[in-house]
Amino acid sequence: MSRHFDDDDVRALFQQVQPPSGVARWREVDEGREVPRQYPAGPPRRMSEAPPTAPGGTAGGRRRPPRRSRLRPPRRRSLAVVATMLAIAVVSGAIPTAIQLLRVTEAATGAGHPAPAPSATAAPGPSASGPSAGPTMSVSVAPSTAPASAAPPADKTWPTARTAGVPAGTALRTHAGDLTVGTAGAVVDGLSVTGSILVQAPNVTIRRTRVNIAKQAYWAVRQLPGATNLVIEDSELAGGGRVQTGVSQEASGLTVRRCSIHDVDRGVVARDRVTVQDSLLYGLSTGVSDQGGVADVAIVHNSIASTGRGEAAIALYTNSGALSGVAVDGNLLAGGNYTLYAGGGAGSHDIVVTRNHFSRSVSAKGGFFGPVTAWDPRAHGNVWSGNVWDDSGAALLP
Amino acid sequence: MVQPWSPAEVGALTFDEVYREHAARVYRFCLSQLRNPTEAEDVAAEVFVSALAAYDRTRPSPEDVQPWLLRIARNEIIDRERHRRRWSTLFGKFFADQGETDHGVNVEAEVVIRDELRHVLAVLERLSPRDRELVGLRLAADLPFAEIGRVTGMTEHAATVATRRALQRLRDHLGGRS
Repeated sequence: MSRHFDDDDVRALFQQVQPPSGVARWREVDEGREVPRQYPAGPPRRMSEAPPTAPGGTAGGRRRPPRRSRLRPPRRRSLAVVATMLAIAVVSGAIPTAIQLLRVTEAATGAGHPAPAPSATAAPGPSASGPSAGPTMSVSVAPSTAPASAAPPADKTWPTARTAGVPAGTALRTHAGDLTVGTAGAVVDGLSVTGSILVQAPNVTIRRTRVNIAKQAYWAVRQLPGATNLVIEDSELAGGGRVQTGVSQEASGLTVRRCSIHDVDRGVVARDRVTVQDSLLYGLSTGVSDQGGVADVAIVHNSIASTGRGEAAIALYTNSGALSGVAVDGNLLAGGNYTLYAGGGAGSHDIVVTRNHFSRSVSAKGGFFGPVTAWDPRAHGNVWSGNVWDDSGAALLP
Repeated sequence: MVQPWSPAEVGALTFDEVYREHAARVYRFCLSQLRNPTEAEDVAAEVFVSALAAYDRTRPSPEDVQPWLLRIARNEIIDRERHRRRWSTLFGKFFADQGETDHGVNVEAEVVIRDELRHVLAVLERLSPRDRELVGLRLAADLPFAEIGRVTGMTEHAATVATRRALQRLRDHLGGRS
């Protein structure tokens, strides 16, 4: 019998084929059993596509598949070189860190001025409802008597995918590729953008917009120098693991509210006059971090999880400069090496950490090493109050 | 307490859902490239084992899962072909056309291959690896051109042109049967 095949015939032939049961071998791996290959082992897959390990403590309680070592010798050699270089980098980086820690310890135990016991009110004033009004924010620190015991916030509802991101039912128009916004006061509303949004003008608002980048990119949203007072609200920034930074602030004034930022390396990289509020950040190494020397930052009522052996939910670093006027209030935080890097360092002051819940859902200690580090209780205006473990409600002290 | 970032909360697919949605497509693509049902089964299984290990870290969005899995499959197949070529160069004269189907043939997998499909697979073998890959993605995995571009790293236009040419070459080969 002879027959002429066209494309649809060939497609139909393949459609009749069903996968044999052996394809589901992953179920046995998922249950922790070693599974021999049915076929003689070939070389390993490319590491960039499928790393051999999964992060520990996954949300679904999935067990870590068995680690395999089937690397070819040249790849082993490459890995050995990389590992050696990493070890050198770690050792050289550990020295300044150790010096910094010693300074913090000296400050904490030395005869410095007595620490005040102030209470803090973080008052992010996200009054910018339109493009003409820039975001406003204030952090005020007033002396009072801080409560001795932790007091969880009365409202224990955290931002979720239902309350953060593009509201359900919003019709979005697709914009393929990068989007450059160069008009002052422009409002970007109801778009689905497949590239980065580059903001070049002041007082721009990005609203009800989904950024889902299909390629490797440095930013989902980049606030370029001069583009002051950017507002991003009710939007989703999805990096798919291909994007370095969700929002990169390079001009003064940024408000991020009711946004979902996920699957990027760093969620929001802040500089000054920043409010991040009512947002959900997950699937990233660092949720909110600074570039050194930030001022006037309010991180209020967000859900932030640093997963996959990430760096921190909130990273207030002082490597490049001192911090001042930072409020971290009423957030649900999880994961990272430490969940919170609390900004301790020479010259940093007025860092207020209040009413936050630390979750142990990603790591048993909150972060891989613990919930908080680099907290300086003696710096002027620093306040640590009302922070608790989310599961037990027990007070968490730095 | 359910955490706001849990897969159920953020609408991510569970891995079981990923498997059920994409297993057939991945297996068919592997079959189109390897022509051997048992080996295709093994490679497809490896794809999902690898994907399971990376799933929580990678967290592909639902629309990204398909090209992600097929990229893993593509790389696994490329590695296998390279491995096979290396050995066949060394021992080809002694073991020519032997061995590949001798390893634990899976009867279940074998019986699902109809004669007509066997013929198509034989013709696929005569295509270049690049054409075979494009045809496999288009006809076996049933992907649109844009998705083929995402899997192979080409623009949609380039993927469309290249795939159409590969399909034409397949038709030329198939047409010569009668």
